[in-house]
Amino acid sequence: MSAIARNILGLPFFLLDNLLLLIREVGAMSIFMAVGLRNIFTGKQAGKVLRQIQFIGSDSLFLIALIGLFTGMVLGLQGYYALATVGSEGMLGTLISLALVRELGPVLTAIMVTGRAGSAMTAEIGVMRISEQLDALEVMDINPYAFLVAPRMSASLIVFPMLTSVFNVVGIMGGYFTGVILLGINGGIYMHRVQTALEFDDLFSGFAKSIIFALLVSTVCCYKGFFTHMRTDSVGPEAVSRATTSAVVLSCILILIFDYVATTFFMA
Amino acid sequence: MNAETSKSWDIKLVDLTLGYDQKVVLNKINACIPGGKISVILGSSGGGKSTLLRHLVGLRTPMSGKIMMGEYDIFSLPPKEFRRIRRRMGMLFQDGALLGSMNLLENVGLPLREHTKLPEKLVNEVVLHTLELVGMADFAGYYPNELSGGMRKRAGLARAMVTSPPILLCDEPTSGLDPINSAQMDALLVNLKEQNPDMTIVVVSHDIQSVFTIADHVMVLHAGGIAFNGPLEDFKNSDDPLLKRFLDRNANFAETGGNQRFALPPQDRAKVQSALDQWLGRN
Repeated sequence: MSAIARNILGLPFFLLDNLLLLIREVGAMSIFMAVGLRNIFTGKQAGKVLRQIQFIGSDSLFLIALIGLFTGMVLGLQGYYALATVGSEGMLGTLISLALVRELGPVLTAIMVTGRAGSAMTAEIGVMRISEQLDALEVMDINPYAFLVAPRMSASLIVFPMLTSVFNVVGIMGGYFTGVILLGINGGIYMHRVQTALEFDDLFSGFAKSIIFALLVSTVCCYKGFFTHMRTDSVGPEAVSRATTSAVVLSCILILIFDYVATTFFMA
Repeated sequence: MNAETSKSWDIKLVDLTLGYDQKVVLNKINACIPGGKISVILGSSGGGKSTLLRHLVGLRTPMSGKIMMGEYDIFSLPPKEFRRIRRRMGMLFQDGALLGSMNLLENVGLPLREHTKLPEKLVNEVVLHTLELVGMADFAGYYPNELSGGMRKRAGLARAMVTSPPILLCDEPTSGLDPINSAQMDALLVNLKEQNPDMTIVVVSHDIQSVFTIADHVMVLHAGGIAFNGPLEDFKNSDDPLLKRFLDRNANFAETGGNQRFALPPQDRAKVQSALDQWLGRN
């Protein structure tokens, strides 16, 4: 039998193997998330959560504000010229506020925090794994889920909605700068459109998405670091680097997939 | 005497088979590590010493057999009970395994901070006292990456000791240390034992000098089994050729086939030599 024929015949088995692997990975991550959440109120968490809030939240604030500002400015520019073609420049406030609050705010915030803090979570926990620090915690009878995973999850759940809000507000200001100050739309109309366009459902869906993304990012990033030693493709420092890369990539993919799912749900 | 109230526990290995994945490292071994003594586990690299230690502390589950701590078969206990037994153990890892994001004061005090409600001031006092015992009190504010290998090991020992565990396990405490630091580490363990006569200390080592200094009891692992398990004096006086080799630091290449199986053919050796000469600029 030729190699090509063998490959074609082997394709279903290859796909099945990968499907089973995917199901196993999703199952393992779900259990990991459940165990992490169960430990949120275990032991002395306050100090650890505060430290993570500072790292994930406060330290990301400038970056999020900067990205939010430029996103709003670009949206203002693109939106103005698109709306101008149908003579509706006055609707710029509506366009920007809805786009930011419903979609771009939660998604871009989550992706930026994944790149800045999520990758650090994976790398830190991964290094702890390969240098026996996690084993040392177990020997000291310190639950690594309560010590490492739960504080990161708690902090993410607290911080993601806050950062998203900052992103939205700064983005709307960026749109104001472009639309009102640079392109001459009436400032009162812009703010009026922002105010009237946003309803509770929009704010709620953005908030809910940021909570979902917080869970996804913290789970995936902690999981990948926690099980660095189980990787079959590499060991040691290379395993940490691969775990970090795969955590960021997987988080970003999941953010976009769950964004679509959540949007479908909220629109319905 | 009730095992629960007994101060020192014997550690019994019963038909114990250990390994990683499908690879068996130690096969159906039976032995007793006596309580209240310093026992040293000797053996060649890759012989299963550290693997055995990781099983003793419950970081890995054996393929079959039992590990008895006193009267408890630790791997058949419910998780809560197992953790209660494990609290009686402290472990010094090969490189200390100190948490990189914490200084020594935080690292060594971690078990106390996590498991007790002692005030911070008192915890710090206990930590400084423990660091003093290992000669590291002046480095309390240092982070692990600012310390040498020997210092990290001493700090790791302080962390293992800070809860005063009745069983202390040490994974190669002198490996990679210079003779002075090795001697200091040995002296620390002996002092610790003198101050805590009921403490059971199990040390994995392949430093024969260290064995003579600290050991009351010796276990030698070889070829997946136990070649010797008994008091230090019996080990010293043994006529067993394998133990003699350990004692005399005598390599036996014939057994491992080390310099025979992969001998280079002359033409390949000449090629390698020529390449190296070129690289080194030798003509």
